[in-house]
Amino acid sequence: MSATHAAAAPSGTQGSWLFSLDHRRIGVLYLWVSCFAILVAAFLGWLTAVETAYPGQTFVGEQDLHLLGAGRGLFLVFFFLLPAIPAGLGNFILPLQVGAENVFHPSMNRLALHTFLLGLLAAVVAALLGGADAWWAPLTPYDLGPGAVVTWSMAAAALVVFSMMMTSLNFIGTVHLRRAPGMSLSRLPVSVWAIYIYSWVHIVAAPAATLAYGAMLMSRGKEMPFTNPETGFAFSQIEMLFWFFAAPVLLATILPVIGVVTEVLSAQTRRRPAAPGLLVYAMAAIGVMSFMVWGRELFSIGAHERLAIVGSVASFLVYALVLTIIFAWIGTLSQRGSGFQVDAALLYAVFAIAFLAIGALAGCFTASMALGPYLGPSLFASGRFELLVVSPVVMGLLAGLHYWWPKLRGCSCRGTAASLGAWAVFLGLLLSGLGKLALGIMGVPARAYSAGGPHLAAYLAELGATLVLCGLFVVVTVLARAEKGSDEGIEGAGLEWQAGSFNDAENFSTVPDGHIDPYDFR
Amino acid sequence: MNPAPSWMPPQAADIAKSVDWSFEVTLFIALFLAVTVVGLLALFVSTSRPQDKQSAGRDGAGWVVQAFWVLAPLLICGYLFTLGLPGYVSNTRQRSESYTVVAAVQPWTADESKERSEGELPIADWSFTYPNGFVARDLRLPAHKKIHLVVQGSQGAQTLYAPALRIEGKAAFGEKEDFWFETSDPGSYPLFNTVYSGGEFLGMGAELMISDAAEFDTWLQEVSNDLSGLPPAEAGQVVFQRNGCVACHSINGTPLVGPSFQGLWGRSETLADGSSVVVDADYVAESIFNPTAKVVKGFQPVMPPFAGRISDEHVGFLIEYMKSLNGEGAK
Repeated sequence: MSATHAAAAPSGTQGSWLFSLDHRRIGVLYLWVSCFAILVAAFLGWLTAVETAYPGQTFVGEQDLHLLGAGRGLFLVFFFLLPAIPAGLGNFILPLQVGAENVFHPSMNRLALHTFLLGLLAAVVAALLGGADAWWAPLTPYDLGPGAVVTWSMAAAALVVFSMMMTSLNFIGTVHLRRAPGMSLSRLPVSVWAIYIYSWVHIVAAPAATLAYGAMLMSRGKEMPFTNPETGFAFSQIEMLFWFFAAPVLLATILPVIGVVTEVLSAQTRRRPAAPGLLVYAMAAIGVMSFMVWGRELFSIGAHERLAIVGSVASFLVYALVLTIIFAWIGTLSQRGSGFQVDAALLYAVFAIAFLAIGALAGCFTASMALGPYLGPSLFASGRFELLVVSPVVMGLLAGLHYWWPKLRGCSCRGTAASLGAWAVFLGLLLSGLGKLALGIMGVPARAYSAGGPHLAAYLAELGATLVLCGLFVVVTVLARAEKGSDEGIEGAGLEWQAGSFNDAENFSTVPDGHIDPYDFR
Repeated sequence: MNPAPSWMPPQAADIAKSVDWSFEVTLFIALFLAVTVVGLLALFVSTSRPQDKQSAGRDGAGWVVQAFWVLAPLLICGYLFTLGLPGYVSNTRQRSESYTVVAAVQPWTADESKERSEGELPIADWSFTYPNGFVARDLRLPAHKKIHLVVQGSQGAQTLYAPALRIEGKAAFGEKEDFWFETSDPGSYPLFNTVYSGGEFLGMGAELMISDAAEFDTWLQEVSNDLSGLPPAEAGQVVFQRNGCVACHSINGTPLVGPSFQGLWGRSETLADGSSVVVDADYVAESIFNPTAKVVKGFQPVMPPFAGRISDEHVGFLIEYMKSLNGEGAK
């Protein structure tokens, strides 16, 4: 048992939250920020959907919508997609799953949290100063010019990227050095592998983002050697550097989802994953391929044709691997086993699978070299991103929260209200995503202020965005009001279920035995 | 091949037809797979299959099943990739005897016919330059003709998105992208800019108008002839406004982003590297076609190259206009 851990987090609720070294408290703080960020993003998404559906100004003008859209991207990507499952849920659950008392380096974990909160502060300052006046991704040379208000939002993004790098290092260290005695790598649950692979992707990709943000922040409004095309980077190269980071990392955010869904699906249906090894290898392959997908970004900026072909092939390979994982899940479900009840946690897991399937199939359109230039600049691309990345992360996070809620709060969440919330969020995200796909096929460009006429798809997307917003409020309320001591919920077979409760000073009262099978439900 | 279904943009060129073929096949396969996956999920979740005592303990899938899970998606995705490959390659392959139009972004005065009043901001919008040097705000093309569309990177990184052509033309500053296609029947289609880079680019948008070849020729003749009847200096003034020079070069002696044209002709300028150059016909032409070659001290190398977007004849008009500004300055 780690002495520092016990000293820094005394039992009960008296201990400090902000300066605690307890991985569980740090995880919960990340979860609160993620919850705030997804509500902000859902509200701004609703605002955008309304403006697109009706001609002219409904609430905000065109320029303001661009500023709000940039803020939406900032909060969605850097304060929800990146941290929600790995840093939030992962910080809480991963050490328990490997039978550890804390993460590998608790004080680095706390430093990561503080860096992350500093990033949140910068994002809020950016919002108060009039928004992030660019998209959440760099738009050089515009955002280097004197007119753009991007310094604070760039700083926010850079701080989060740096924070997630420390968190990722911690996860890798925890998996290698803090496993319970007897727990060999082959005994690790799939979700631990998922976060482990995601961490590697982030660590390899992040330096490119640091470089891009550093170069941009230093050359805001001034001439610097690295923004002069004759001596250093061309403008487009800064964008390329950024996408070398963003394309793999955003794609890799589905890996933790795949991990969580595998855990929840198996535990809730009491069925062993049909091919856990295949799942881990497929995830590792997605992690590697994700670094070549960014060639897709080169499709149309005069890059060499061969690079565009590499990007297309890599994208198709990733989508094929996602489909392989979906087939393996269906195989898991098709096995015989004991009967099961359909709870909110299982619903979320199944919804996440449906979104991954639809998103990967939508991706097959934009990955195609013929269809990329047609659908890539349209709303289709936004719809694909929502279906393939945003919706699965929302669903995966909620599946994990409902499944592990007894561990997080000592109470479970299984009622009709929970299932109702799940259906509302699912239908909302589905309508919103499919509506955008349809608008994109009609040729409505991404970030269009108006869909250019009355379109059923635009109204459906608006209805979907409204449902998402309402559903999220239901879900948050149900989770917050779940009563302690209500029935125990469905437990898995992993080490986390042997751990003590949230308020215990130590995770495990005795050193846990790692010789377990995390999927032995008999 | 079939025309586009009513819920897709109309096909304004031959490349749109081949793209739509890939689209239809991909849509068919994607719909089939989506329905299968969602249907199987719903089936297995709604009907849980209780334990069969005989088969209990037989966990996991055999290697044949696993190989199928890997290979089936790979084959499907591989087919979709090969389906998309020729469509992309065909519109970036050079075609002979094409009619070249250059698209770029430039500042336009709110009303072209009158001079810009003090403080009035220029509006950024698309410009389309025809082989004879005429510059238009909308893209007019003859029907059933081979077209070579060049998208030139100028200010920022605006992207020309033409849903009816199924193409996206994106070029960074100083770079260009080429497209070759053959136009279809006459019609009118929207063009968009999909990259946000500040308020002055928000109103950007143009029309792609395809008209009968004869009608197109008459139109181009009419709009282009307005210069030939004018004295060279006045023609130069029109070129000066139409090409957006007016946004960065004043005619009253005040330096803006670039030097003022008043009193510029014949003057000796000091360059950034310390050497000096006399503003003569050669230097003016070079500064228009390759602006960053010799930049006058005190100014940034930010002017986009106009090579391919302005004819030698029009450069001659511009020089006459500059000369006339010297005369006014002396008055």
